[in-house]
Amino acid sequence: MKAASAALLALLAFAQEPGPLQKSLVDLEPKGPWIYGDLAAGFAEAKKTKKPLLVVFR
Amino acid sequence: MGCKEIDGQVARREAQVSDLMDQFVTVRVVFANSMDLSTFQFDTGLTWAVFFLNADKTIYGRYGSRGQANGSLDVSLAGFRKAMEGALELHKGYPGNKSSLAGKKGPSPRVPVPQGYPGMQKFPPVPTPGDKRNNNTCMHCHEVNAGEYKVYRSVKQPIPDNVLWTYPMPDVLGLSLDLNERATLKSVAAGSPAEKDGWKAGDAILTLEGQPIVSIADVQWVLERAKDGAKLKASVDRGGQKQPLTLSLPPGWRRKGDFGWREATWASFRPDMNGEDLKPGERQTMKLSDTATGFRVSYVGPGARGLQRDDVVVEVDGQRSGITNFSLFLAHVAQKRMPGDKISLTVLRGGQEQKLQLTAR
Repeated sequence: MKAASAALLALLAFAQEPGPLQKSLVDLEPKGPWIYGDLAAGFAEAKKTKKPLLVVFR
Repeated sequence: MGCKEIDGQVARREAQVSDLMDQFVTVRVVFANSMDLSTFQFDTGLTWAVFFLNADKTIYGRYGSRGQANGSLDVSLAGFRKAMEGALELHKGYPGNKSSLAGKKGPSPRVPVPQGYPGMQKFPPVPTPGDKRNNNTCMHCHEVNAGEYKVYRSVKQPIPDNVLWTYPMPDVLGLSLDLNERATLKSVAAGSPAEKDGWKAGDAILTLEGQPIVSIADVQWVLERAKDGAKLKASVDRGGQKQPLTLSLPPGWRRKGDFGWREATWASFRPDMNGEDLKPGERQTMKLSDTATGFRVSYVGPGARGLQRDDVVVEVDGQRSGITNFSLFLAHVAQKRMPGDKISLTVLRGGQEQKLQLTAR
């Protein structure tokens, strides 16, 4: 359980790092566990966590 | 003006919404390149739109609405919170409620991805890293909206009403919804179809055509797919009691809306100009009846030489009646004037009528 939580935290920390696309688009910096520009990763995460998805198109 | 404020509030997960947002997997998408138009069918004229979905792509609801020039007036953080509550309730009841959600996904789209629209093949699957947002590789949602126009314009066919007045706001039927609720009536316009059908202020729409409603955008989704003459079935909460209602859609109901705010019109058929409704009392002063053609020119670009700001257009291609606002003028151009055609206008300038011509794009 602890290992799974640590893996999730690592994933979220990764997701918070602004990638080259976010930087180059001069987009604002979202806070918290956002998945940036990767819908497939979002669906995979929703399947794994059994959470619903909230997708913002901006 | 767009939706920068609410976009920032949600992106920052402000305290008013963070507890509910944490119950979702949150994804931010800032380009429309290769968007799956089969799953993500929404008003692409919006600058900010939200989907609530299950991992299996079943749609719980949509959030994000716009029916006027100021894009921030039809959304609120409180309304967004209410929509999230609704989506989470639906997720809790899933898959038992799956059949009621089937209508939230539309039929197969015209093209599977935006690159299928005329003139949009140039966009790569994703924007090229290192480029800026307003470059040639980052597709904006409004360009998808323009793609729909180009399907018709590129073959010199009239753009139909349901494409021009797309995703109608409930106001066109007399339903003014409270921005801070899911879909609760703030007021019902006197003499409107909704009033005639017995709708009352305070009614909270629970379902429309059997679909659970979590937002104004969900109401728009149902309206978008409805035909003239339809009688939509609704269930509302009125004073704590469930009550069935119908919502009648009279012929031409969409035409009461405003689509002059749509960025996509600039990239397709709009002459290089903007317009606005005449203010109350102005028609009387100018001796124009309520049905007389008339709108004010509020902006003129280089492509509309001859026009001047504050000109009042009183005749379009010989029509002195019927074109009572700027959206109806744009519809005239989109449906009756093909690229290269002349558009004849008579304008009131300094109390005198002047005739001029524009060339349709």
